[in-house]
Amino acid sequence: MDEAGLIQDAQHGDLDAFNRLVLAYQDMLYNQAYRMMSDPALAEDATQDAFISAYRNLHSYRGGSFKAWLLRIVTNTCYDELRRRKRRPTTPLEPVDEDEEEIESPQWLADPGESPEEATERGELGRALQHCLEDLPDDFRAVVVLVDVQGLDYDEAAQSVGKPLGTVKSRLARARLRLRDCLQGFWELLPASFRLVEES
Amino acid sequence: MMTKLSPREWEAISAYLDGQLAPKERTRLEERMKANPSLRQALDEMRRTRMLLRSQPRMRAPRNFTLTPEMVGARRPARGSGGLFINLRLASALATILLVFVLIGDLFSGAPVSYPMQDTALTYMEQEAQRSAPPGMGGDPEVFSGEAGSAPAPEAAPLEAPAAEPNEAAPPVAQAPEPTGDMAMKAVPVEPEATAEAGEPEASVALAPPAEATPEFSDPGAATAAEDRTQMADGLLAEESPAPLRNQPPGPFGLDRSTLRLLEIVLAVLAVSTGLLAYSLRHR
Repeated sequence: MDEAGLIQDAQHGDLDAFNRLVLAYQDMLYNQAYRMMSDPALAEDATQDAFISAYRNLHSYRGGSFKAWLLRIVTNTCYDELRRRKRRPTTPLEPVDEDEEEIESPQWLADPGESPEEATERGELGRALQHCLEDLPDDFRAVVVLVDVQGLDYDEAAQSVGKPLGTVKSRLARARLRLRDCLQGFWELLPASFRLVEES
Repeated sequence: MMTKLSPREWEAISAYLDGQLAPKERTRLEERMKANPSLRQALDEMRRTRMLLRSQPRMRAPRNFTLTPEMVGARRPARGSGGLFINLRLASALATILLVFVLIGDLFSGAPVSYPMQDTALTYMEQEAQRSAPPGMGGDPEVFSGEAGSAPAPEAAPLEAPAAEPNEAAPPVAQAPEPTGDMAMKAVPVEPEATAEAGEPEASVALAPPAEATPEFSDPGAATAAEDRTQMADGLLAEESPAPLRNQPPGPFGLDRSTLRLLEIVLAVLAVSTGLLAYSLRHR
């Protein structure tokens, strides 16, 4: 795929060319949105909005990493939605008990501090990790997902969040530290095969 | 038991893990880690956390997020018209910019406003001035320079031999543009005859609009004669048809007024028409 050619055509109004770029990057943008929003439906909306915004603002793309440019748009879209939700808290999707407290899903039941430790399978691991990501501040979460989940380098991550390199390094280190704390004790419960991957 | 380090140390270890430390800092940290087991443990913990994140499977998008023209609020342009739209839009923008420059040049060219009826009076007064002006004296530079049918170039005329004055009148007449043929042609044969006669030296005072009178030609006696001529000229206003703008000084870029107006109209039409075409293409 001649990305530069497609981008140029899209900037001239060729929607078909832009849609080819959408197909190439939609998995990546959806991943970013999902890790940010922790909800599949919200992640879909954010991804669609991000692509619409990207098409309308193609004139502002001046070269460089197109991937980072798209990720910046979806990250900002997620930030906006997260801020909006904090200003207007939505009705919890989880049912509430007679004390009006959310009845959480079984793995977080009763003692939130122990929830990550109860996860022992890789599927549980993913849910545990997502739970810990959700506890991070939005800007920390964005950086650690960009670097450690999406695989961007520091420069691309800085471009995606629109912050200096030093800020990215600081936020990444603090995010990893918090995740380490959140996953405490859970590491020993991982299957042996997973630990062997680490040692190899 | 989790390792307790300062935020700066955690940041150094995180950057070290990603190979983002400068060589000197990297060497320093490695030496510290050799001596401090806590740092090594912190590095291991951070490495595992990073690996856990990297081990997560990449999710596939649940559906295609391709866009439709309705989503982006525009109709699908006809195939191959994207380039035409760009060119039309560019042409419209260029025409608009050129029009603005021409208008600005026109505005600041310093030419006095002149109306066709006044031109008739000026033409008459020119004739009178030429009849009464002594040899070697030119008219008001602001009124006469470079125009068809006008007096010789005033800056050059005083420097020329008197006998040359009649001939001086002819070349400008022949060379200057004739935007509206009839009136200009009528004035041409009159000018050489007028310049052949010597007359009152201060006649040029009356030739310019009152606000434009040049000090060098001021003379109380001439003022009275000028008033008489003005009154006579007023009487002519009702009889003669409007003179063209040819008597105005040239506009910017060396163009005469009528050419300038034509250029402005052309640019305006071009800007509007290309803009409309581009708009219609875009919303077809």
